[in-house]
Amino acid sequence: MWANSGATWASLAKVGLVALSISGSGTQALGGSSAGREVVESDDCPEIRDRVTISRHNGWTEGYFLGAIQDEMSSYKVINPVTRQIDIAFAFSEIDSDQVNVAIAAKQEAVDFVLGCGVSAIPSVVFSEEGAVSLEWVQVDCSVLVVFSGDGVGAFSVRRGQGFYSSKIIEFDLDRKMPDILLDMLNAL
Amino acid sequence: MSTGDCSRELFSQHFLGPSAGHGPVHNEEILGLAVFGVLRDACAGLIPSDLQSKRLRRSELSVARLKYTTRAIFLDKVVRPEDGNKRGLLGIATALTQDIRGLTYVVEGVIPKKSGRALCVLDIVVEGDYEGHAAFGYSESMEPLKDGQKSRIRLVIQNDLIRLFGCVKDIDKIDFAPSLSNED
Repeated sequence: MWANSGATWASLAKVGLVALSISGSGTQALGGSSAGREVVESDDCPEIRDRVTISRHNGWTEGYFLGAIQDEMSSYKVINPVTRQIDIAFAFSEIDSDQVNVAIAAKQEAVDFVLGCGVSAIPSVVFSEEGAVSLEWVQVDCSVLVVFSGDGVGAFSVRRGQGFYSSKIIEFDLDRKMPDILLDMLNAL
Repeated sequence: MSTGDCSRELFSQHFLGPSAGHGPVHNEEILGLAVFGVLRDACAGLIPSDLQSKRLRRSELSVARLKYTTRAIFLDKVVRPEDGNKRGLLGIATALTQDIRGLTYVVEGVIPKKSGRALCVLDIVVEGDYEGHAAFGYSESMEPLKDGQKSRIRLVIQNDLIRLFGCVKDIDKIDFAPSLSNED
């Protein structure tokens, strides 16, 4: 039994990482970020294997959240920090009224991409008025930009030193395997 | 750099005809982009909304040709109209014309590979504009591209433009033209 309401859970999830306690009577959302666990979109993760903090009689120990309460858990949306960043950018962007559907499709592509590659570094996210969205991971020597525009094709570019992204834009089909070079770059972030 | 993607760069776009105004923008000219809005860390540079995507698409993103624009004209013709909209001047971002013209895009992963000039800089002056007015926007080479591809490339270019313009400078640090013999 969930001690907290869905609304409470959602509000905790919105502000970041949450911790769960499991007691004899069920599971309760506690809030806070001290547990430092990785959060995932439960809807997109059929087997929830998050590390969670489990309450035991004499304090806190680390354990795995599996099995019996999975069904209950799946009804609550736990937010991935990268997809949350995309949601926030979308909410605050000015998008042409006739391009909103494009933006929604582009946003979904970006979310699928992030969940698919498992990148956890937070990018800078920008939606254009035309509805395209870019995710940029800036680093000192080498930065990565990935762009989606809702048509099933993504594009990425790597910028080194004083170079520019536009000098080499590589498109890739989102239905196919992600380019190895991009995956390697994102894994190295 | 090729002018094939930017045929209008070769001829004056002044509303009074080719012999009016200062003529096409030279590569060595410095262009100033006025940045308005709420206070923010100016040294963080431009933000995407400063580039006014719609204007870029129409080749109407206004910039001042600093060689031909005095501070007084800039304040009168660029800043004052925006004051009426309650948007204060945050500062001015500058770029060299040849750097803007030098931006090119190359798209790989498609057959055939797509490439072209990213932006065109034009000496557009319409009635009511000051003589040092210019504008730039996406190049004609993108017209044949599909909408999705076009919007992806534009977003990449926008990102590069933000980097190219760099910090937003205080107006006192801008080298405007000294007083012109025939102002406005």
